[in-house]
Amino acid sequence: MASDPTRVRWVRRGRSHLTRWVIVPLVTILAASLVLYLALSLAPGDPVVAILGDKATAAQYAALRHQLGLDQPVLIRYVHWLGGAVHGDFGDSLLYRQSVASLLGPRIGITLSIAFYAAVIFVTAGVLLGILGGMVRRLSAPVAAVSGIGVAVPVFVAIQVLVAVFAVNLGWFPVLGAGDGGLDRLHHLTLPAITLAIGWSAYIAQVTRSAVAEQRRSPHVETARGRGLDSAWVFRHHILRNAAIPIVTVSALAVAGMFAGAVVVEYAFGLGGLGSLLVSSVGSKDYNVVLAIFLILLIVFVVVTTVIDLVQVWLDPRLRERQGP
Amino acid sequence: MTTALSRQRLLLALPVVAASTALAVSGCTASNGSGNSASPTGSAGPETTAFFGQAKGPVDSIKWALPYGEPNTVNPPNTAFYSSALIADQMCEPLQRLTQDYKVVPNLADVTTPNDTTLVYTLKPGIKFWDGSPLTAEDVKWSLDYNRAPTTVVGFLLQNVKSVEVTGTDKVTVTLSKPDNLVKTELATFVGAIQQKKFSEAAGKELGSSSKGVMCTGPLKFGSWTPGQSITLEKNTDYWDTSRKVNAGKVEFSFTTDSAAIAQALTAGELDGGYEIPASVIPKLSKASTGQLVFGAPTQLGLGLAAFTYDGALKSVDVRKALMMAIDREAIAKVVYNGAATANYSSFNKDSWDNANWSDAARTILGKYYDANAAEWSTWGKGQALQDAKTLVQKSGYSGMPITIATLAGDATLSQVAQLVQAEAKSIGLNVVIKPLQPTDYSNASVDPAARKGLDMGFAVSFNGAPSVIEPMSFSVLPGSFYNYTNYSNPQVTDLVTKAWAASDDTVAATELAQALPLFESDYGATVLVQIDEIAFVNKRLSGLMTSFAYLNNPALAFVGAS
Repeated sequence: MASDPTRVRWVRRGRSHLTRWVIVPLVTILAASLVLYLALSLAPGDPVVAILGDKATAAQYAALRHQLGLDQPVLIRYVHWLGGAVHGDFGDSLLYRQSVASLLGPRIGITLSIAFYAAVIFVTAGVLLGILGGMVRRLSAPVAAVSGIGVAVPVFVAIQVLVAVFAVNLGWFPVLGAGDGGLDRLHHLTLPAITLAIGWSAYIAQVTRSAVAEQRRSPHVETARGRGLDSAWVFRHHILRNAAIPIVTVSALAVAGMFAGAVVVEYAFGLGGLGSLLVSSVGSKDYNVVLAIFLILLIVFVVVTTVIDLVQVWLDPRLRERQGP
Repeated sequence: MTTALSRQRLLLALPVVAASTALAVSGCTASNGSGNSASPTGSAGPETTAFFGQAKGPVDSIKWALPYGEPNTVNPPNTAFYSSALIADQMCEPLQRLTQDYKVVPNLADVTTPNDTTLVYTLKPGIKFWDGSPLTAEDVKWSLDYNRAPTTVVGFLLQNVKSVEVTGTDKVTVTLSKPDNLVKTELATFVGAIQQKKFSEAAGKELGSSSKGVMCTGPLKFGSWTPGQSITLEKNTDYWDTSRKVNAGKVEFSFTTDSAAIAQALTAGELDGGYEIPASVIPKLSKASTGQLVFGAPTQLGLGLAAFTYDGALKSVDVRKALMMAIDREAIAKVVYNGAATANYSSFNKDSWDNANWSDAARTILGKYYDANAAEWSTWGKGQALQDAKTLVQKSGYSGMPITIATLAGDATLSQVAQLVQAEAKSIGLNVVIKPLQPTDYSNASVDPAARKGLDMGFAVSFNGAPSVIEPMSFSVLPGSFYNYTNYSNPQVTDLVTKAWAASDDTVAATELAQALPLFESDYGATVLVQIDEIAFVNKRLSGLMTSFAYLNNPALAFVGAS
């Protein structure tokens, strides 16, 4: 039994799966959190000054520092934090004097809503535009031009233009706030989601256009057409299926990158999401809040890249074999 | 457009503001601002007034902007920040309060001063907290002891309070360790806010947080606080002070900090108003048809320029004087602040003593000092003064060493001022280098000498908590004080200011100060260049808003009503 070659191969593949899908991501998260903690401690600024203001005496600062445990060595503080984090306890905010979990709760929903809403927009718009540009020869140049502009427009410019036109002038959308749930929230988040999606849709459109165009010109597609296969079938199974790999990869990375763009949008529209909290917490060196948000973003990123890998493996059978011993 | 990071500024320290020129008019003395005088600046400029309009009826709900963003707490002694103080002051009240002209009048209590180290507060009867329980002397003692503890942000302002004792069923006696005429005034601000002992002790360290709120006596009560989203306050239908009508049914605060977004929301009517509107959006808001800008005076806000060290380019007093002579304060007020500031001819805000907290006699004494200054300083920044400054620079033997002035990165207003000053300095032969500091470095610079290394001076906007010039003087003129970066120490000045601080008769204090100020100013180490008015925007459906800077210590929004 010990020398059964099939069994040995299965066990080794199992171990490498474990390493690849679980251990590597975990180690990445751990290492990144340590680096962040150290980086934050080296950054300028003193949390006790942010809390007490600048007229406290040196003794007052020292007392508060001691009360908050900030006078301990950085690594000890990190270990304490890690111990709590592993149990789901992310500690309290230095500035707000309440648990990090209670601060993040309402905000996560908003950031996720914007990101998801924007993702739906840019995947739909970008992919459709790209397919049009890739499949219809006459539209290829126009789509390339439009997507070029879309990629180049900075987010804050897009915000100014869209708000001036659609919110202030036409009054179709509100200028700020996240609304009160349900349809009202959808209404409030539309302009923010669109501004966030513009750049990425353009990018997706470009990638889709060139992937689709490349597939359309490929030998296997010509062969399939030459053999008289239905063009819709050819489109779905030959062109799209193969173009899907780069499109999926870029889309997934865009979703992860969306969280970064969400910060600008959150500020401009007064949406209380994770992004704005992250920036203000870094400014006041509110360690626990910064780390918790960072951890969320990190986990999102790791999950997304893992999902990309899995989807790619599913889409491209050739990748499955490479995992073998 | 200021960045959001610059928003969490400690009020008493280094934030940004804007202001207006025009005639500073004081409103009437009645507490609810019934009728008020407003002198329009001339043609179509915003009016400058202490109280805007008159409430003609209740209003269901008001949506208010918080340009400085979400507060981190609403626990009064820790609310030395624009956003948190505004909200806390709608809910919690001090024993005495400030009118729109800065007169100290009874609120929850009357006060007597049997001698210059004793304050006896007698509570008015029948005042209740929002939960229906009565306000007692125990609550007052608890609150004052809590506020003066060294762990609070404002504790240091009450350091001369020796003890607070309950001396009767409705009496509380505050004993000072030495005569200190600021304490009575400070206790009329949020520094002296009264909270319920039982609720506050139960809330512990979560007092004033989004989950707990506070328990107070004010006209608006804590409704809800959704972190990151909004804070809602609700009308206290059983408000004890029946002489002032609570018109607002509900006030909801928005946390947007982006000035463009706020301006757009005000223009679109999505927000009904806001205080601390940045000067940079004045032009845009002047065109809004949904409401109007109002400039508030008297004010305690000022744009300061202070030296951090004399070990360097500023060693020679001639260089320092020349730099001061090169600056045109009027131009800053007009150009940078879009008319929302007035040139200030003193090292401290004129309104810090030119307000109803000081007797007419005291104001006359200090007025003479100010007029003497103004006669000379108003010629600075132009014409002959520039020539004289140039000569002074040459006489000093100035070698061209750069004078590095710190400013807040991302702050458009301070940046403009810095550039103006740099150009003016250049015209007289002084080499000024502007150093923008990131927000955390900028805050650090006011606390940590190491953070001030390499910097010669700094711009900052700050304001006084109490309407008394002694407060900022105690921070910068006395040896060892918070803002005394250059270790300025003049025994005569110290003696005069210490006497003024202890004087129970404000004409005595004024006489002493009128001597101390010119002495301090002959060092040319620090000054307030312009006095900045409070900038507010009010939607046309609302009226009856306190617009002088005293708003920050009053439940101004509770009394706003329909126009």
